[in-house]
Amino acid sequence: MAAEVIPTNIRVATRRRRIFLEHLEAYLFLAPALILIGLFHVLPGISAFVMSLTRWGVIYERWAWLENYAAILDPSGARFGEFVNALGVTLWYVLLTVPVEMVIALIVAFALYQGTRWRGAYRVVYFMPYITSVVAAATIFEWMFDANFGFLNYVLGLVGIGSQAWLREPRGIFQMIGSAFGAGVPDSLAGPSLSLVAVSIFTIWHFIGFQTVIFLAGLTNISRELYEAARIDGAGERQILRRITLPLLSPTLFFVGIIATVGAMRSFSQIYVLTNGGPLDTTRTVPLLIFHTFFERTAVNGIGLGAAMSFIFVLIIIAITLFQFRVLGRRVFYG
Amino acid sequence: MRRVVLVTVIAAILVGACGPGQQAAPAASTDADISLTAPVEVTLWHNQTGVLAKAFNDMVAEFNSTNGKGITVKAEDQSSGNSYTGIYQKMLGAIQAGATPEMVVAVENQVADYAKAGVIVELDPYINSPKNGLSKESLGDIYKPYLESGKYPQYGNKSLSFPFVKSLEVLYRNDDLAKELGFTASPKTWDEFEKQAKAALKTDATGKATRWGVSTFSIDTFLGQVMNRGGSIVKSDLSAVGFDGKEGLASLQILERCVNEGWCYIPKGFDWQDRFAEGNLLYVGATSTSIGFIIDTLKGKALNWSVVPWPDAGGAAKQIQFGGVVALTKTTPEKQLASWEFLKWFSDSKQTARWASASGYMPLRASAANDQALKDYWARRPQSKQAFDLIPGSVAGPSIRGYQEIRDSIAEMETKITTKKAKAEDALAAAATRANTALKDNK
Repeated sequence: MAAEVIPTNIRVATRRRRIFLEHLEAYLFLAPALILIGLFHVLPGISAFVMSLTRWGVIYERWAWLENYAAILDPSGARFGEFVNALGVTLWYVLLTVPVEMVIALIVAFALYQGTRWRGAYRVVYFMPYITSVVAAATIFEWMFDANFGFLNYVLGLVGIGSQAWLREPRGIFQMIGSAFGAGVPDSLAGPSLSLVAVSIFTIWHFIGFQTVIFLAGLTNISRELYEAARIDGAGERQILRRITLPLLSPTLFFVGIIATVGAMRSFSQIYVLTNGGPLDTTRTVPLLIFHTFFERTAVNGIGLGAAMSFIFVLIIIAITLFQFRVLGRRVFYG
Repeated sequence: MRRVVLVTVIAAILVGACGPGQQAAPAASTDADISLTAPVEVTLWHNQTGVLAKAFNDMVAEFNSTNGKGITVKAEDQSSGNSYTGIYQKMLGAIQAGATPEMVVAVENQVADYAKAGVIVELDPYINSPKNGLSKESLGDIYKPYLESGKYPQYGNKSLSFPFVKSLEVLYRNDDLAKELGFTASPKTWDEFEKQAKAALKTDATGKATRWGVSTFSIDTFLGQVMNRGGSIVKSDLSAVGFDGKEGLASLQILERCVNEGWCYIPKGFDWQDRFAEGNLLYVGATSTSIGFIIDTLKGKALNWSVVPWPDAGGAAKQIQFGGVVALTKTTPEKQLASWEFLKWFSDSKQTARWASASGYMPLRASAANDQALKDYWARRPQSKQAFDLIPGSVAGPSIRGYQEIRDSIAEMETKITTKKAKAEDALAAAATRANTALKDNK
């Protein structure tokens, strides 16, 4: 009996229907996530972008097109000066925190990886700061940094160093070091303020645990056989570190570098609690400037300007991340 | 015929339009003159926390059960920890959503911001309403500076807020230390003040200060001092700031000298209270609400201390006063009237005396001084009575948009001085430039 021949158009339609149902199923699975992302990320993002194109004080005033962007980016305007200052503070903050965090976390991870007896307990101890409330911990650090009766000044006093104003010190650290040696350092080379350094110390303490755990996971993933083979071949510890550990850990290093940089640029809570941007704006990072503009200068188009600053800042973060991908991404060894 | 009717109508309209000039117009009836005929519930966003919240809520409950007009006030702490900024941030969201509370506690410049959004009720019709307003005597009993701070020059000097919790910047003196140093009277001039404060400086063997003449000045100490010396914070036409004149410079130079010479204590937050309680500070310029905190810090320790008048440099204002106000938002005439009834009740002599003795804030009325409960409170806390006596000579800062930015510029200026980053002249000029920009932006 001859097989029944199904017309081509019906076959195509059936195939299309099957594909559609398969796709529909996939979209249904994706739908909850897409709805949540759309409602809580995409829509607010679009709203904020629209706000950035308006003059919006306490209430919407008028459509402003790119006026807010122009006001922030006009070198002769007051907003430009404060935005550039905040951007400079943010970059100093990233430079003061990210490399130091990564180096310390890497050292701690190596130490734990070497088969320390209480590795689990140490891991908990190092991770503890990360799960501590930022606000609560920052408040305790505020006491420690107290200029009059803080613990840090007490310790400095024990080694014969005079009290520092810490969170209230707007002078740059290079300037302070220079003056300690009798050398005058101009304001342009003053460096980050001591208050920013103090905030950075807190940040480093807070995030080391998280990075240590990530590095430890990266180290654990490296096959022990590689080390054994290298040792049999006569490789020294330094060579093993340079030729095996670091290359195989480079994806983890790259990942941590990217998220730490983005995280540091977006930092808010600890700076808000410790200094609220002061003294003299030396710790006013871009997120704090946006908050200040949005909530403390609201009547003067604060919402429009704050939203525009946010978008400019997002572009800057994307540019820095792309730069990291271009420059550091090439050196990553994926095995 | 049609033309005749039209001409007659136009003539009648014109005559009617010209007519009222000839005779007294009857008082216009406004939303403030209505009567409440049904129960009304209104919400008040405030910033009272802890024991003050309890005292405040008790008073609100009493109003709800005794007002006899069916008004229920729902008091909600929306401050995120006693902060005006917390309420302000929530109000911004509420304004966008069109869901504001009927009453909101704020500082004056925040009210000026809300008014820009057109959500604030003008209170003059309520204050002056023949039916629901305040009598001439009652109005005269409320301290004039408090009512003046409720008038907003950027909105035609209309009353947009009503006093709620008021304090003033005062000078606390350690009387024991003053006596030890031979100063029996409080300083009459700023030079004398400086001389006394300098004399209080004491250092240890290493040269480190252990006792100081004064705790560094706050923003309000500076602004109050400028007015005390005859200057102004902002020029009356709001064209520019006025604190950058010789009065401002003289005020800032005191701060500069005390920092450079080491006779002032630079506090962290409120830790000047500890130094004061230890007996190591001769003077402190701070808000009158600190009285309770100083007593708490003393923990029963015997220390004679008092609130003394500021030196008098001839200005119209002797002190600066400040504090929270209440603004009503535009809702329905019934809700607005219900809110006004609560404000009227809360500011009445008996209530303001009760609130002052419960909270440590200043009473709003002079007649509160006759209240026995307040007299008893003052007997226990004579410093509160000393502060109360200074109210008539106090003046508030300007109730304008942009005042917060002006205050920020003063804070920045003072930080430059305390951290020795700038000389007084330069810091003052920079603060004036920043504040003038804020004024211009907010015009």
